[in-house]
Amino acid sequence: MRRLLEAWRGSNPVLAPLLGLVLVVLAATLWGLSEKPDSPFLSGYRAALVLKQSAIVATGALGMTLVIAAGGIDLAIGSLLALCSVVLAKALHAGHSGSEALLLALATGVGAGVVHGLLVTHGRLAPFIATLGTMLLWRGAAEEVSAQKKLSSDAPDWLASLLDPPATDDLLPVATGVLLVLLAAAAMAWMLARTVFGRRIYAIGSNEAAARLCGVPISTTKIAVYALMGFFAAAAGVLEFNNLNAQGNPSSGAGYELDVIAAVVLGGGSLSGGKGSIAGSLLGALLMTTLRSACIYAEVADPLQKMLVGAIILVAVALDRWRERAR
Amino acid sequence: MKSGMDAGRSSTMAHARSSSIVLSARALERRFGAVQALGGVSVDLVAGRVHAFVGANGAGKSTLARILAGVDRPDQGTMRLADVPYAPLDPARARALGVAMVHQELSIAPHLSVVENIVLGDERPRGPLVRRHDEARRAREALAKLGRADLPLEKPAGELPTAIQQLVELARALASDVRVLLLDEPTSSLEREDKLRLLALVEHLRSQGLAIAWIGHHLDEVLRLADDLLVLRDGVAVARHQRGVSADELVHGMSGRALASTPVHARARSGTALLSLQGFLPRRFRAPVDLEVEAGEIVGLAGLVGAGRSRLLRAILGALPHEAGVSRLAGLPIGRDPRRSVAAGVGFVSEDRKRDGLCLQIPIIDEVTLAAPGREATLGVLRAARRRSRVEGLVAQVRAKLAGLHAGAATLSGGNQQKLALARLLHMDAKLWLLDDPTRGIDVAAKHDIHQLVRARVAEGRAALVASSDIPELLAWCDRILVLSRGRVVAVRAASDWTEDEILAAATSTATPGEAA
Repeated sequence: MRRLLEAWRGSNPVLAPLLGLVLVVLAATLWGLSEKPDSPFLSGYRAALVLKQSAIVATGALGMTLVIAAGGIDLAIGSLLALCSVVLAKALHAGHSGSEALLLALATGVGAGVVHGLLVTHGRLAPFIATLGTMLLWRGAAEEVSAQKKLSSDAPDWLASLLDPPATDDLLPVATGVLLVLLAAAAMAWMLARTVFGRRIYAIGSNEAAARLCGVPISTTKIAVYALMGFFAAAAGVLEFNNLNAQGNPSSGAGYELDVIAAVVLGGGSLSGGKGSIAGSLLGALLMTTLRSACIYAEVADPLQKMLVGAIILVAVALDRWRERAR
Repeated sequence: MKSGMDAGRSSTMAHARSSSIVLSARALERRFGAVQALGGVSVDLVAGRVHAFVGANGAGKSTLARILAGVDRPDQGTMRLADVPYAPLDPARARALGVAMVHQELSIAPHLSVVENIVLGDERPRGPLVRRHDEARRAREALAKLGRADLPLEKPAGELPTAIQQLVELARALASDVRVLLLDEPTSSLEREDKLRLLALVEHLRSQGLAIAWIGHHLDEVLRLADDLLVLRDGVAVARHQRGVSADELVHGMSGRALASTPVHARARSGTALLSLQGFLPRRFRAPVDLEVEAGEIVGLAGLVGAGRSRLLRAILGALPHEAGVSRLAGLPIGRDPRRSVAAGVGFVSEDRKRDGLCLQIPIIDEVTLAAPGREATLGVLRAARRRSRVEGLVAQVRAKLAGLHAGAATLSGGNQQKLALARLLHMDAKLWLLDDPTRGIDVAAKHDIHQLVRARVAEGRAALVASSDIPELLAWCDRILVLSRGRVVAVRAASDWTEDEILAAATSTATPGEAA
């Protein structure tokens, strides 16, 4: 036991969510063997479903990993997701082409992210406060744009089928949207590990004063980080639009920011900055969705399910912090 | 990525012509709020010479260096670098022009690796991409110049001891093509061994044609290194000297008053043990500590970095766990947790003011009363007038120079910050003072004030345990000195029975120098 604890202390931070994932799958499978022998937990159908559901949280988690590693936080991404999805729907409704509407939605996200960055740097607001304010701002804007109604639209097929199950003759058995998220994740992981920009993100989160003395461009870097976060919030909005069958809903994404933050923290991100990895955050997102899926599979009632998810987040993060401290 | 592909940029020092002025500043002025930090100072840094800036707390030495390095901008005055107008907007641009500074307070990004810290702000990427092999090579070369090529390059810098972090910072300055090197208190957290190596290194860099500015409080170091000396007092240049000036002359210029060279030993032996440690074994100690400290006594803790000085002090406070034994303060058990130890009368001053020594952002009045805010409260409500007069009295007692009680301590000099930490101990009326390197990085005058203050307060029936890397300081200040080596007590003797060499020998007796915990 003692040796196990020692090994845990020195282990890779990605190990924690991975271990959690294995445990959840194992528990659900074992439960299924005795209770539902004719429909096992592990199936292609369920895997596809979990991936699809994870994609939206994972998309936000990509941006949030950067924000948290830089020592910031963004509470406004749930509202921004809604705003971008209604912008997309409205633009399509107004007769714009699919690519025009998509660009407009993404630009909205990036623009909002730049606003966050400016508030945090030149406005000298704490990220928590800045994005608490814009959280209401973007939610209101989403309701304004959509006149507080769900907007249906005639989206071109390529834009409305991102989360649809793949055709049987597709090369890879996952939805296009999931594939895009994985590609973006690879790009972000590479960016964090290999570029000066990535290095600066960690430096700022680790010790902003030291980074400033070393001549790291603090403001530019932070603005870029929040702009990327905005981009990913918009991308999540596009996926949500797919999820709702080509609808833009001004009230979607409520509480989304908290799911995303939980995924990043489960994946080893530290809210005091300097830490966080894309692989960890993806696993964190996957863990949360798998857990929910397992609860539904095991017919756990909704209130109990919520408590279970909450408890697991707390235990996982506490274990991870203990691992860090003990080093 | 191949490491051979970076021949385009070499990290060798620029070879300036000897006796030519590299960086010159004229009539620099700088004001922070109501404080005139710098009032029209001119200075020339010459290639191949070391220029020392000396002066008491808040004399403006660091401000001058920070302006030269582009960290602060002057309100008035001009600068020229290699005879071209020079007005860097930030430290990065100054560094790109060949002016690098090592700061007094550590500026390490703890989560980044040693390599990443060394190249931070000067990564020299190919396009957006970092070049890891090239960075590792530059880091190794810079560390090799410091004689520490053995450091683990990929380890997060935050996991290294403070002294090693300081070396990483120095390596950072050397990893760029510097012409002008500004060193603000570079030896303050170094052990003797590393300190001597650094002095030799600075001499070597000077011979290579670098213009060096050295800010230091240790006059022996200043006198050894400096070719030119600039004495500052209250933001004004009060004297300029060349090599050969006497220490007395310098001290007189710095403080405007003469200092007694050693504090008086005036111990009133009480015979009653205030602190008693029995079989006390802090975590990661290799042998238990038995020690009794009487009221009226100052006991010094000597030892190399990693010997366990800080760990022992923190374990007595209860901030670190101990695995066996008991510690008592006047018979009451302490060391379980800091809150109860403080309530019992233990006062602690951290070696790291920035990390856990002071709350630098809160008003000074709250800082000083932090440990015992209830002293000026009635039923939990603070009495503003009483608090104010009390704190004013304490600030005067410790001779701290402040702009006001409602500002934060962040902008004060290290010496004044440390005096506030001591004012806090006075305010809570601590019986046992645990002082972890209390005079690190502060000037002679402030050091002297602190020595006198602690001696006077201890004579009133308190006791102090003082850790320090400065052995002459311990010899002059303490009644007894306890030498630690790698987590065990090697010897305890009266200070008068030790010599500096004996303490060094004891501290290294079972340890390999430089090994870190």
